[in-house]
Parts: sequence; structure tokens; C-alpha cells
Amino acid sequence: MNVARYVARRLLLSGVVFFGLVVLAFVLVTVLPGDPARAAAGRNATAAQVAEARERLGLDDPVLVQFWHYLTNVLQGDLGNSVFTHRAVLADIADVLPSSLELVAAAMLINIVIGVPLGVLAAYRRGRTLDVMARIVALLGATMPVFWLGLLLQLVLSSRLGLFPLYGQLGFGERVPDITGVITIDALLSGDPALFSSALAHLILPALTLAASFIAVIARTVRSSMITSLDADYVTLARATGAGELRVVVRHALRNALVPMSTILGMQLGWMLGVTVLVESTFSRQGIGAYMVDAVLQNDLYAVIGSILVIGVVFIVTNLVVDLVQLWINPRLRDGLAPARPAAPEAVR
Amino acid sequence: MTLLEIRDLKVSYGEREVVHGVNLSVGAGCRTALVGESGSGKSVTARAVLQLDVAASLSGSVSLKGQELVGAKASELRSVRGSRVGLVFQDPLTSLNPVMTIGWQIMQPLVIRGVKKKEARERGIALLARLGVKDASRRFDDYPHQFSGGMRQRVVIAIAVIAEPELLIADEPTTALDVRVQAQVLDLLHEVAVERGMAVLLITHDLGVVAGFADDVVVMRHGRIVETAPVAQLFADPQHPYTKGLLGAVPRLDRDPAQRLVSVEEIEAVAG
Ligand SMILES: Nc1ncnc2c1ncn2[C@@H]1O[C@H](COP(=O)(O)OP(=O)(O)OP(=O)(O)O)[C@@H](O)[C@H]1O
Ligand SMILES: [Mg+2]
Repeated sequence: MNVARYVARRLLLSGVVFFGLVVLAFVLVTVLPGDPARAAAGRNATAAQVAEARERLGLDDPVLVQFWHYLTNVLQGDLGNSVFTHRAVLADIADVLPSSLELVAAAMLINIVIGVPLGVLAAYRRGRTLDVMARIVALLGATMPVFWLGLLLQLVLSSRLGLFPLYGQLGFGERVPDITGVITIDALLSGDPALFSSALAHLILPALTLAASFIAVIARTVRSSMITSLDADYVTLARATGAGELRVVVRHALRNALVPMSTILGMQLGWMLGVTVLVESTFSRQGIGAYMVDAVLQNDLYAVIGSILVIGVVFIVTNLVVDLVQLWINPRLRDGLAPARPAAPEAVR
Repeated sequence: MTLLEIRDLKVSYGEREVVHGVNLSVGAGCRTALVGESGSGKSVTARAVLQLDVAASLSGSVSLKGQELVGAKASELRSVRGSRVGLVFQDPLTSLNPVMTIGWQIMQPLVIRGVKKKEARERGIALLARLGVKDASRRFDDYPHQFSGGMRQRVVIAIAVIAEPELLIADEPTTALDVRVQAQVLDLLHEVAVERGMAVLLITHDLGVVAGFADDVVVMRHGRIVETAPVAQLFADPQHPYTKGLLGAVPRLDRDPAQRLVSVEEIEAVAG
């Protein structure tokens, strides 16, 4: 069956990409300067202790054996230990990841709520003032460096106008029960409206900063695919049956534009997680981005690579989800008629 | 009684006028064919009736049973579209929305007029069956790509006529289909039009299909009408040299096979 084959192929592809990711991580672990044995044994270890650590870590084994160990460890969730926190890297990341996901989700929401209507309107009024203005606004958002935009927003909206908190995730002295790890949700669950609105207020600026550079891309994507559908015969015919403009635009044209749109949104979700690096530091938020920056500064090899692996896995998973969503919104795909998104191995051939 | 009356219609795109004062009328329940070579302005004229082309600027008059459409308000036009005038395009491949089921698309004209889903569905299935789609109730939830070209065009016709318009404008509805299917679809269109008392304005550049289908023929050339006549009269005694030329280009069984068809260049030379 076509659907089963499609899903199987996507799963296989995800597996291949994951394997590639682990190979990359392993190469980084082995190639990068710094002696893991010394790192594991500790700064003041004796030569004997270092040798013992070498033995224990299997660093004298052949490379393939080492890789096999690495792979099985990764699959079991063992990404090594942080030399700085002395905890398992995965446990560290599990603590900070919800906060990043919260940021990404909020940014994605802003991205969709602003970017999609912007693209639709620009397509509908193409060449007119609104289209040109949308292009300028989108371009501004896209070309401003993220950290710079963050600082600018902080300066104007927080410092000068006092509309939003400057940084952090909660006000001074505020605490939320640790239920999900996502502060806004935990604040909501605590049942204290003041706490919730504080958490939300702390989230808005960083999310806006993160979203800014993505809005342009999704708006352009939506614009160009909306132009294609708005010009299509089936849209003219929908009008010819007396359908109103709102219905024509949303039900007939936008429904078609969902296919390319969901592809781009899926990729953006992964990219956003990568860009949190720039936002979390600026706004003093917890998160995988901030964790990674600290890890780099402290030369914490396993923490850095672990973060890369986790971000990569999130990327793979979102792509897989997008592939499945495509199956649902694009009926031609179900019958194997539409080209699926170009898969790397096929494209190489 | 005249249903559609077009008087001195001029259509321009920007500075360029492509239709230069067309007069044309379609009687209620009548089938009129609009013929002419490619680029003569047939489609532009047809699209002017429902004013679906925002880039086109119109002057003159298009009236539907006395209701003036040129310069009419958007809401007025909307109430005409679908309910009083239906439209079928040439290419059934691009005429259907690829991501919606054909059933959804057939039901839309009814749904936007407030008909209940269940009733719309029943009427849609019945119409589709009438239009010769086998197993209509099962195929109702299929997608356009699961249909052949001829079947798709039947679906497009269903969408155009389900709200029971008084006039159907069909712009080369069979050109994209293979010859055998062309005849089937035209016959069907004819039958349905007669059953419903629906007038048809059939646009074609193929005079061969006109004879069995239309009551009247309007011949168009370079954005102007050159001849209007009942179909029998036109075939028996064409007045305009261009029409004679066009008729000479139609392959006919009753003609001496040794006699060559007239080429477009020769038509051009005669018509001047
Ligand atoms: N949207 C448009 N913008 C500008 N010019 C147009 C547009 N649509 C049609 N025209 C021009 O109007 C003229 C008449 O075109 P039209 O499509 O009505 O021809 P037609 O008789 O339908 O030909 P065909 O048999 O090929 O469909 C052509 O010269 C064409 O270039
Ligand atoms: Mg045409």
C-alpha cells in the first residue's frame, strides 16, 4: 500500500539521518582537542588514574568498537557526563529543554499568527501598497540580527516604556511548582492568575525576538503559494459559483497553500530551536541554547555534543511529523502521485 | 424571450482593447455557439458576463433578463454567479481543487446557499449519477486525481449546474478531452440543458461540434462579431467570407475525399 510504503520510507530516512548525526557527534568527540580520559578522571588526577579512566572509557579500543559503544550509549540515552555539573548530560538537558520548547512554541505561534495572514494579504493585494509594506516589514525582521533586535526591544519596550519585564522567566521572588517544567503551564496549573500573567509577560519579548527572522520566510512562502492558487482555474470557478471572497481565499486557496506552508513551518521549528542560543542568553532564560553557550565557554565537550544531538533529534522528529501531516493534507501523496519532499538519498542519485 | 443580451461590449486590458463592440444574445432555453479562431476574443467575451477577470475593463452592456451587469455591485454579481449563470472551463485538470474531494466541491454551491449538508450531498450524488458517473455515491468522496479527464469534466459540469442556473457558459468544455469522450460530454451537456430548460453559450473553435448542438451560431473574429445565424442557415448559406472559409476547414463525410481542406492562410486571404 502506498501509505504504508510512504511512512516506512520516511521512518527509514529519519533513521538514516539520525545515524549520520550520531556519526558526526562521535567524530566530534574523538577529533576535538582535549583528552576525555583526563576530563573524566578530573583535573588533579594522577597519571595512573588517567590511564585507568582510558581503560574504563575504552579509549584504546579500535575506532569501530568505540563507535559501537558510543552508538549503544546514545541509544540508551547516555550522552556522557558534564564535567561542569557532574551530572548526566541528558538529565541536564531534560531540565532545560522544556523552557526552550516553551520559547519555540510561543515564537512559532507568533510566526504563524503574523506571518501567514501577512503572506495571504500580500498575495491577495499583490503589487499594491499593502504587499509592498508587508515586504518591507518582513525584510526588516529578517535582516536584523537576532541578538541586536533582542537588545533593541529590551531597551525600548522594557527599559524605556516599562511594558515588559527586562529579562528572566518570572518576577523576583516568584516561584512556580515544578510540574511540567514549562513555566507558563506550571504557572497556569498553580491557579494563580498573577503568576501566570507574569510568566506570559516574561515570555513575549524573547518569543517575538526569536520569531522576527522567521516571519519573513513564512510570509514569502505563503505569498507565493497563495498567488499560485489564487490564479488557478479552480479558484476562478469557485468565484463563478458565487462563493464569497473570504471562503474563496481561505477554503479554496489557502487550503492548497497548506502543503508548502507546513513543510516550511516544520523546518522552521527545528531552526528556531537552534537559534534559541542567541535569544536565551540575551534574555537570561533557561534553555538548551543557554546551556550550550555555557558548555562551550566551559569547554564541556559532552554537554555541547549532547545538546547538538538533542536539537538534531527534535529536528528529525518535527520533520517526521511534517511528513505525516503532509500525508493528511495532500491527497495526491496518499496515492503516490505527488512528489514527496525530496529525500536526500534520492536527490543524490 | 431573450435571457442574455450583450450590447456593444468592449473589453480592454490596460491600453489594449481586445473586444471591440460585440452584440450577442442568447434566448432562454436556447443553445448558442460562439465560434472563431484562437485569439478572436471568445473567452474574454464569455468571462465578461460574470466579470471574473479583475484586470479587464468593460464598457457597453451585459444584461440578464433586463438586469444590467456591467458596473453592477459586487454583491449583485455574486447573486448572479452560480445561481443564474454557471461556468465551465476548458481544462478539467485545473478546474478542480486538487486537495478537496469532488463531493465537497459539488456541494459547495449549495452549501453557500444555506442548503443542509445532508440534502446537498443527496442532490450532488443524484446529479453526478445523472451525469454518467458510475457508482456516484461511492466516488463522491474521491479526489480529482482519481478521475479520468472525461469524468472530471462531468464533475465540473455538476458544480456549474447544481445551483440550477438559467444559463451555462461553457468555454471549450471538450477541447482537452479525447475525441470519443468529447462527443459523450457534449451529448450529455445537451441532454441536461434540455431537461432543465437551461440556456447554453458554448464556446468552441470547432464548427464540427456546433451542428448537432446549437440552435444559433455566432462567429467572431479579431474581437468582432462577423455573422450571427441559426445553425442550419449558417451551414447552408454562410454570408461572410470568413465563415465560408471556416466551413471549408471542417472535415465532412459528404464531401469528395479528394477535395483538400481549406487552410487557415487561405481563409485569411479570402476574409481579408
Ligand atoms: N488576462 C489577459 N490580459 C491581457 N490580454 C488578454 C488576457 N486574456 C486574453 N487576452 C487577449 O485577448 C485576446 C482574445 O483572447 P481570448 O482568450 O478571448 O481568445 P479566444 O478566442 O478565447 O481564443 P482560444 O480559442 O485560443 O481560447 C487575445 O489577443 C489575448 O491575448
Ligand atoms: Mg478561449
